Amino acid sequence: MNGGEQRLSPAGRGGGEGVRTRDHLANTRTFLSWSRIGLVLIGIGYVIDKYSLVVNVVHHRPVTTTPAADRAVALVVTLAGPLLSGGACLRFLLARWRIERAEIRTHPLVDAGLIVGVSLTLVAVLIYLLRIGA
Amino acid sequence: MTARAREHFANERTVLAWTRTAITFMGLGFVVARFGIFLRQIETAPETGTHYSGVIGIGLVVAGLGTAAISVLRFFRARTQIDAGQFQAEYWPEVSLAAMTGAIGVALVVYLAANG
Repeated sequence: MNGGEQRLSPAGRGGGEGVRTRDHLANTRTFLSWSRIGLVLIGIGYVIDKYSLVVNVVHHRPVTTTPAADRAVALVVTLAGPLLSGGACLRFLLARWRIERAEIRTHPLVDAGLIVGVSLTLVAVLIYLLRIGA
Repeated sequence: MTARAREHFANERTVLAWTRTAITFMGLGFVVARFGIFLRQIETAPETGTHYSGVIGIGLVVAGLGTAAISVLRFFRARTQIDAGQFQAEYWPEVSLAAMTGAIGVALVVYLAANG
């Protein structure tokens, strides 16, 4: 044992080259899932920013700039996208490193950080929705 | 089912995940680009600012195409490596994707913060 860290034979957690390959491919798929969430957040942020302009057109009101409060929420949600993508990349590289070391101990700190980040962003979206009376 | 077959199926699931990501890029690019056209059409006052939505939308679609190209390249390389029993855990495709997402996301944030 190495400080609670459990290590097995070099390849594939002791299961051989096939297990190692599948672990790496699963790691890539997990990274891609996080990346898609980041892209969706970018899209939500953009829609939040432009929504008020559409509402003005529908109600035949003058088209002006986006209200400051909506703009603030839009920026937070949009910025969460690239941040999430960067965090997902870090998580991917750490997991890749662990797979190569045949280390089966999990390190959920980065994953927890990503989940908390997404949750806080969704809270911002919820506040926006409550504010516009959806 | 042999272990080799499971690796090939895992490789196929991975390329499908890449494809979904490419489609997400393109879908988002389509929305942003079309919205740019709509904003130009409704523009009645100069304070609505300059609209770079079209450029960013096209950038997103190009990123989607790049993602699809990376996925195909990676799929066939991994397929060869699996058959040879020497899978190489490359990381440049993932880092490239993160860089593309980061660059476009930051560009959109700057655009929205500047004038929207």
